[in-house]
Amino acid sequence: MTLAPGRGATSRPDTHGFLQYEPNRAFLVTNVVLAVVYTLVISVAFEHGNWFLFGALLATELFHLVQIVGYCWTVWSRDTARPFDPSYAPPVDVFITVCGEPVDIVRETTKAALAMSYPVPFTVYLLNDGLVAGKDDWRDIEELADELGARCLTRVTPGGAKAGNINHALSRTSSPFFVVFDADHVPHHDFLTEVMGYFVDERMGFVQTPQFYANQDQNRVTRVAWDQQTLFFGPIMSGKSRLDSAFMCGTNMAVRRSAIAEAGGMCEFNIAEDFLTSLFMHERGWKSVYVPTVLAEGLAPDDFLNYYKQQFRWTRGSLEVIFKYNPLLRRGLTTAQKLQYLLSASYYLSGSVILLDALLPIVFLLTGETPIVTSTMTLALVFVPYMWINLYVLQRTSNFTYSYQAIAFSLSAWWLQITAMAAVLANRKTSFAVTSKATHDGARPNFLRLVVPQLVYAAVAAVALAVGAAREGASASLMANVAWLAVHLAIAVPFVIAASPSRAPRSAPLLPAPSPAPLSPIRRDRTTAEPTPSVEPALQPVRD
Amino acid sequence: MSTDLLSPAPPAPAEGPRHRTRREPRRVVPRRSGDPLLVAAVHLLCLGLVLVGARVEWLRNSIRLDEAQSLWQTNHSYGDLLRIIAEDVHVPLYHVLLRTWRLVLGPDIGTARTLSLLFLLAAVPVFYLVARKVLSRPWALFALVVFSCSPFLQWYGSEARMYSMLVLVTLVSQYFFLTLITTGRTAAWTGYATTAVVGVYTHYFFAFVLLTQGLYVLLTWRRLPRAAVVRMVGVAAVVGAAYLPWFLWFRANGSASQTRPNLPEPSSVDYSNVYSQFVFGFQSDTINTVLVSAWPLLVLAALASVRAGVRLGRQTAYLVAAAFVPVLLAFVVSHLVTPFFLSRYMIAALPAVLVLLVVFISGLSRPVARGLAGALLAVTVLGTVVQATNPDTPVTEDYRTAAELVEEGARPQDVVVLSSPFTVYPFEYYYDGAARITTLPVWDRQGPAPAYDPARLPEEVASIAEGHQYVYLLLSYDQGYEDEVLQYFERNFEQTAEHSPSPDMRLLVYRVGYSEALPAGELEPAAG
Repeated sequence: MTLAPGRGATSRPDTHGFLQYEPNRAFLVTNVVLAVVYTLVISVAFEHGNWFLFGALLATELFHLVQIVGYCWTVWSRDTARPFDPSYAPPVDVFITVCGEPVDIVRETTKAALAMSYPVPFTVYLLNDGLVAGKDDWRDIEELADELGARCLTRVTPGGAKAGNINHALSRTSSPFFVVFDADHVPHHDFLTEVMGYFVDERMGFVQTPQFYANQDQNRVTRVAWDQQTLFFGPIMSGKSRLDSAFMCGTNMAVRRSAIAEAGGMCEFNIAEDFLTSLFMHERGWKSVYVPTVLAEGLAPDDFLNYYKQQFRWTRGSLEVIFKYNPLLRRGLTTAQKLQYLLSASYYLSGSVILLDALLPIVFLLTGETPIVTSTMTLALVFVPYMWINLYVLQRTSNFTYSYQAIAFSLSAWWLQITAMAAVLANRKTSFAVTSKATHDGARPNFLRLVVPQLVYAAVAAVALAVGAAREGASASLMANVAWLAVHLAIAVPFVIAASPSRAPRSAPLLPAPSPAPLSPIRRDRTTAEPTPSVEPALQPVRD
Repeated sequence: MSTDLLSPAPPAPAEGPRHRTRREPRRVVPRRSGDPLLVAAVHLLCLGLVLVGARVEWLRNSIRLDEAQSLWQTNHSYGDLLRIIAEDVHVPLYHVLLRTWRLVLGPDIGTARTLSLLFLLAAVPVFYLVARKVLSRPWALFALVVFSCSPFLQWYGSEARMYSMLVLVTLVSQYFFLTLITTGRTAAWTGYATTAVVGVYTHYFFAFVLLTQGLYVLLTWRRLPRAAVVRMVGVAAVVGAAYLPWFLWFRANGSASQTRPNLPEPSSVDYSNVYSQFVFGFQSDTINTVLVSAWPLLVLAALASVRAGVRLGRQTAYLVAAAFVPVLLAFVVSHLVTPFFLSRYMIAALPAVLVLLVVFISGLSRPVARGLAGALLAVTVLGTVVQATNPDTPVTEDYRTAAELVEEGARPQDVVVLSSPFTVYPFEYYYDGAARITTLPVWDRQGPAPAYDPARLPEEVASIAEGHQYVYLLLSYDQGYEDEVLQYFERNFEQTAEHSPSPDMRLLVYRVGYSEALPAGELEPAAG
């Protein structure tokens, strides 16, 4: 088996644990029941305070409730049986999308692709976008293809980004099936034999496999990115597959040419092209399946900026789907597919919800206004069990691969999600003033500008605390709201730390960074994925 | 074509990957933490802490109502004792032991309290054994220190009641239970069954411990050793058979229908106060309000407990149930059947709560774990100190001071009135004054305490006051009519003095007769 860059044979990350989820329906039912009870109690049983705040609270709780119910429905069981013929071996083309990645990385991926076992000959294509993207090393990719015996398809006309690159390749190839790998996703030798047999079902449109991050132990960002990944490629995709709603994630996938042709090719007009293309294929009656086996290993975003951009792209793409291609209005989808697409895309609305939740204690401290009037302990009695079962279900369904840091990053992404939504609504492009400056001594670059909103929140919280303490004294309400503030601030800490600079460690890290790391930000975005819950978990994110 | 299972078969536990072992939280391991001498030294330290705490409590604390009742009850012969206990709301084992103890070693309250202290001391090593089931040795030792400093345990380790015995029996039961759910050994089942029988004769609330264990077995039977459910049914049968004689005796003596305490239905505040008192001890309302209002921090704790590769093991899962299910059951039953929700009844859940706290802390990163461990220990010690020194500690019952105050002021022509009636026991323990004692409602102490009848209050007060000059009215242990009694005296008599020996205890002096001049040495008016 080929190891991804930066991995030593003795320190392999676990490639199985996150896929071993077995649903426990008692916990799922309990979770939903407690969520409903909590929402009902909040809505009906307590005296209402400020009506505006109450409305805001109710909206956030309903959002959480929908996400929780959706999550429990998704992971209720997994896709267990699909037609599979191991002897089915139709002609297939292998696409490796390249856009300025270091040649060494592309070399490893290409060699692994060429080494894949398959009963019939296949061709490996390097889809070289380096020229149209203005990358200096685009010629090196052509030379690499010649060296390794692959074919290089270099685009000369830009457009459509990765989707355009794939469509360009489709126009120059002819096999009825193709598989796609990002340049840094190294396939296992058995990828084709484990995947192609599913196409024996004539309506099978595409087969998706997990995106595994081999560099997950490199630093905090890669760890968090992987922890978030486990939830999505563990229970969520398995559950979606059961509902015929598994969607393409951009890499490590096999696609039927006729299906994507019927869908109009890879969608070039949305930043989340894989998500939208999947929707179009499902809309036309094509099936999909998710194979819960790691068959390729790639790289996670290795610094905060790349992670941030990745999240922003997914958020923006997903929200565009909601506002421009609302799944509920698509006629060809089944009800389950409509809801699954909506749940995935709407996850990224949680930024506004999280901000509302975070503002409630500040509003109280500044004004004394509350959404509900009740004993704080009564609220605790209904909220704490609900919260705990929620998190336990999250842990259990991820087979205990999820982490606090992953949750903290997800909850702290509220500003990112709000700005992405604003960009979608205003239909404007967004650029990042910060640049990713690679540090070669192991130090962490300074990305604090990306967490200014979190720092502003902390400052406002401090002011609010002073105002509230002066007005209330050590009342129960003050203590409860101060504790809530502490919770929100503590959640932001890992996010802010990841964005803050650090000096180089004195000794060499246990796991060296994968060789020539810096991928172009746009391309790197494609190599990763993430999920994320909100405090009341509801995790249906869209992946790349 | 074949049908392929998409889900790969889960690997056998012994062969499967150990998830994220590289990221398992690091443990704080003190040097030589595995040294048996160190373990013994920490145990000695903890035993010393318990002894010191008990000494402080004894010096400070007056006899409390429940203690006085236990002393009164165990003054009777064994036969009468069994009858009295059956008429009360308890089971007899502790009182039988206490009577024997007092017959051998002496009748005073100090001797009686020593028995409770012994139970708590015996609980120290058992707690360690239970903690070791889910904690590394250093963390189990740390948990043991917290256990020994626990203000709640310090309190009941120095009270002549059955609660420290309940803790001990619960811990022994939990030790056997945690052993049997992993090994299924017959010895563990034997010990478990024996402890279960002892437990149901120690306190009624031990039934919630057994119920929780039974529920746990029912819900997880597939993961337990074979025949666990069958053996559990067997234990239930043994316990039922062992308990049957007492049940029949209890029914034959009226099912304690006349002596049940008048408790209100528990609220959410009462529920949270149970855990607040478990961790922080008995604190004044001001302090307690601040502490329990910070409950949203539990959300942070819940989030922090989400850790990759960290599973809730079988034994930890049981402790979660042991910490929360008995209290929840008591809360529900108190609402559905009859209120009996008092934090001391739930003390069986306390050890599990402490172990879980340390389990949570031990799983965090090293600096955070160290910081939180220090904070937990500091809070525990501080809680004990404040509980012992703060005059506003709510559960203090200072009948000793009350009796001294009355002795100083009351003369033979005065009368002492105690309400509620059963507070006569602790008051009498100290009182050696000249004035006669009576109660409101009037109680001849031949049967259960009479119910309060507002229509009879004027008549009873008039008969008490007749021929006396001053009434020393001691109000404590409100049974729902304290305020009516107070208001009646306020409306009809002149108050000449007021004292508050402890929270929720008021000593008021009223002039009810005017046949002679004011006595010399009358109590200072309106002193604190």
